[in-house]
Amino acid sequence: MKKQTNYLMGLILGLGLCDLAAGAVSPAQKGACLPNGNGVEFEAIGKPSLLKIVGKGKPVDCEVSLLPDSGGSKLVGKFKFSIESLDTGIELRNKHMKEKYLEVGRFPTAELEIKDLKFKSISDLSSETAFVGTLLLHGVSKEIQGTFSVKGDEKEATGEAKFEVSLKDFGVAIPSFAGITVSETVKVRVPVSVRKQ
Amino acid sequence: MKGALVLVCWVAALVFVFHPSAGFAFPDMVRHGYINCNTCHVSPSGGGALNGYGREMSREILSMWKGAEDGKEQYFAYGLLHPENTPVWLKAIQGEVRAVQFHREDKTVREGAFIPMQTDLEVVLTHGPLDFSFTYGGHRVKQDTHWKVQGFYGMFHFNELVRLRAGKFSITPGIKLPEHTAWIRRDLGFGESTDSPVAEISWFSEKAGLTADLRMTDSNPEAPQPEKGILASFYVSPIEKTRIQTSVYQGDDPKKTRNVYSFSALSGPGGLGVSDALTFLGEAAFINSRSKLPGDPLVRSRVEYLRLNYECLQGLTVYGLRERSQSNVTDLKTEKEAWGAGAQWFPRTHFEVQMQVEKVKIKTLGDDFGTVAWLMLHYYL
Repeated sequence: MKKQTNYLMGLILGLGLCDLAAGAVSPAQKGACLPNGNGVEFEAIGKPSLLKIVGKGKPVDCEVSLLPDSGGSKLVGKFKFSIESLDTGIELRNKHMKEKYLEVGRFPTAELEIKDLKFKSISDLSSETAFVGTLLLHGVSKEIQGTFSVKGDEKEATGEAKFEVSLKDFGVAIPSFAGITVSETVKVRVPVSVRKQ
Repeated sequence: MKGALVLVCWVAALVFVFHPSAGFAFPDMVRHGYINCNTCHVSPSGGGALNGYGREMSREILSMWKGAEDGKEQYFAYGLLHPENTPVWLKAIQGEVRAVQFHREDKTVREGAFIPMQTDLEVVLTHGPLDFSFTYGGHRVKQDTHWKVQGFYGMFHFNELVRLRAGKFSITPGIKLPEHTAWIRRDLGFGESTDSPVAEISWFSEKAGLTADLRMTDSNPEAPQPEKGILASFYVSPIEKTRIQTSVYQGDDPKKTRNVYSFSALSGPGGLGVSDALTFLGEAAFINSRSKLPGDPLVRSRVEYLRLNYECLQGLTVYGLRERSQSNVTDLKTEKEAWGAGAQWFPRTHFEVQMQVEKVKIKTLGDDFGTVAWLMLHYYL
């Protein structure tokens, strides 16, 4: 199971969006994720019995910047997630997931970098908006796509990122145990809360 | 939304408990996110032989003392057959021994009995998309033990979602409780020894399931289940660790026809911040029965079952129980109610101990509560 740290999403956008809502060009603004928000979640399906496996972890750490861009703004940020924090509710499953498949001893964190998420105004982000980023997971860096949405004000914003990860793309062996095999694609949801610095 | 749904489940549970009178499978595995019985069992309706995953979960999440993580204790005969040496055509094999010490006491009677309930061996063979299961053993009927093929079925898996099954096995509207003496099973005519010829088609996804059964009359005229019928069940998991189910059954036997409408809910209410060690199981069934004798009126009856489980330690669950049954809703004297408590203990894989005590009031016998208690010992190989 992977965790995708798609922090990007709306969190950062909340910062300084009010300035941008009027189309004004403003100086770069920075923000950081709050540590006490909701944690990352993933959902995988185990076959053949179509077992839904849900894992939950800690909130992400992030540093984001909101930069002026022609016609609006763009978001740049880095998001980091502790894979060790993931919990699927069953101890043996957690152990297999972390030690055997995700190899947390070698790759304790996952990181997502967004370099160029453009938008015109914050209202554009209240509904799910597509993004493209680079995910580093299990020692493999690959481009991924997802969606995010955000709501907030000048000081804080909360949002959610969603995306899917193909285990094979990141060199993760397909988890299998006692006749249950996890499907290759895992859905990830990243709630984010960001405060302006 | 999630919190609201869980709150509705709790309210429903309380309604069941306080509603004024005028209603082997382990369903509570839902609290671990297992809403489909076939995750752990070969049978899509639950109960019976465990598959390899079910064997592992019996150790990992059900047993108080797990044993070695990489051991083979949880498998058939303590590892005589395990995944690495089991032939590919043998999907599952499981032996079951079950006995109960029963006690009943009220104004008119005080009795007890030790009843060897079950001694079975189920073998499931597989080839490609086909499974074939047969169960041989002894079931006690009154003072006699009958040794024979107790049940069997063939199952064809069209794909991951759809399967067709036919054979001789039991069906039940609602949740397949292992306690077949519960009124929600026995009073509906789906208690013990209800295996009959059935054809079934089922569809399951990770969030919902649909099953349709055609139950045929056993050709043996002495068979206890002369009723034929059609059963349709649908369940959905609207939020994590919750299963809501509705079933409709239409039955026809030589004396009457009847319709059974069943509604049930199982949930681990972790969504409200309440401990995941708590689960509740609630079921209500409404029956319309019409005799085939001319002039006999329609009889409406109802049965209700509510249970709150608390797993105080892994492998040890205590529960509170409420049952109500009324064979004719227009006649209060046909009502019976029970309040009880019990405990279920899985000390180690292969073992189960369960005890239950209920105070039972049967209006036809008066307004006093009697006592029904039992201690069940279950060992599966």
